[in-house]
Amino acid sequence: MKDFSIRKYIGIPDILLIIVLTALPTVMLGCNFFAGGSKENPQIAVYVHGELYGKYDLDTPAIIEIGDTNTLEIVSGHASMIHADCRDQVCVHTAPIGKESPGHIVCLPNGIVVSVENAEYSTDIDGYVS
Amino acid sequence: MKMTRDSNTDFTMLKPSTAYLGIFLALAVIFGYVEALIPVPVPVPGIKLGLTNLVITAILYVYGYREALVITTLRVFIIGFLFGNLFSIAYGLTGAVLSLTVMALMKRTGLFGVIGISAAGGVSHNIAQVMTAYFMVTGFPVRWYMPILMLAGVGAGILTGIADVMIIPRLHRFGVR
Repeated sequence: MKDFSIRKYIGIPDILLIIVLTALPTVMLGCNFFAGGSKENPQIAVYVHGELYGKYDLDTPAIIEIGDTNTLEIVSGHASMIHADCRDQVCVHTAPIGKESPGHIVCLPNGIVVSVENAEYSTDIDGYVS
Repeated sequence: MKMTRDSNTDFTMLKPSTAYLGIFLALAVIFGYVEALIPVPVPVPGIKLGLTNLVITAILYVYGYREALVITTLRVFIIGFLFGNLFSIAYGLTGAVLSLTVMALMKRTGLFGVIGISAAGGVSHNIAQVMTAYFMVTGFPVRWYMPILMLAGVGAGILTGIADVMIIPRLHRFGVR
């Protein structure tokens, strides 16, 4: 007759292991909250000639003058360039960027890059298991 | 002499019964299906109880690593072909193989009990799946999923471990050989 009794259910190594395995992700989560900051509110960051010009909340509608060459509009969670003094108007015709549509608006003549920070990417996992 | 070895913990030298392994495989598959029916009230996808881990850990204790590896691999393919797709097989296989290997190595050290081994199995299963998702889905927010799924893995692993503590010693009463 085979004996199926388990000699060890739980011991001190197990308890230590469980404490470590609980503490590690908790610390990771804490780091995320403090370092990553505003995951809940993605922000619009404006860079002029590579330097940060300003960060703006996506949820509060605003009209932002960037220097005196461009005008950025934030409305209903999306940012779009509504005015530029250059000829080609590429940035004005760029599709609005926002939380669900991360990307960049670039104005080459004036050296302006507008991008979404802390955007949520859609994660379309086809299936998972068990 | 081999037979003088501690027969309390080492079942690997005994010849497993193929029929019982078949029953265990069926049990693992049906647990995977039943589990999908249990709603988990958490807004993070991927958190589950790990009922199949219950069966796999029991096989690891009653038979051994090789038997458990065969059963869990077959299980992933059966569930994948029945209910999932190629992606679910990839996710399932990485998680299942890594967690079983971690559990077997921990069991071999002799330091840990069922509950600790099961908890580590749950964590490593979720780590493997998050890493798979990281390589398969660009922009997958690993740093948010990883800690949450690790915590969930510990909790689920402890629960299935407690269940295994009750199940494994009772198995021989049902004639499992």
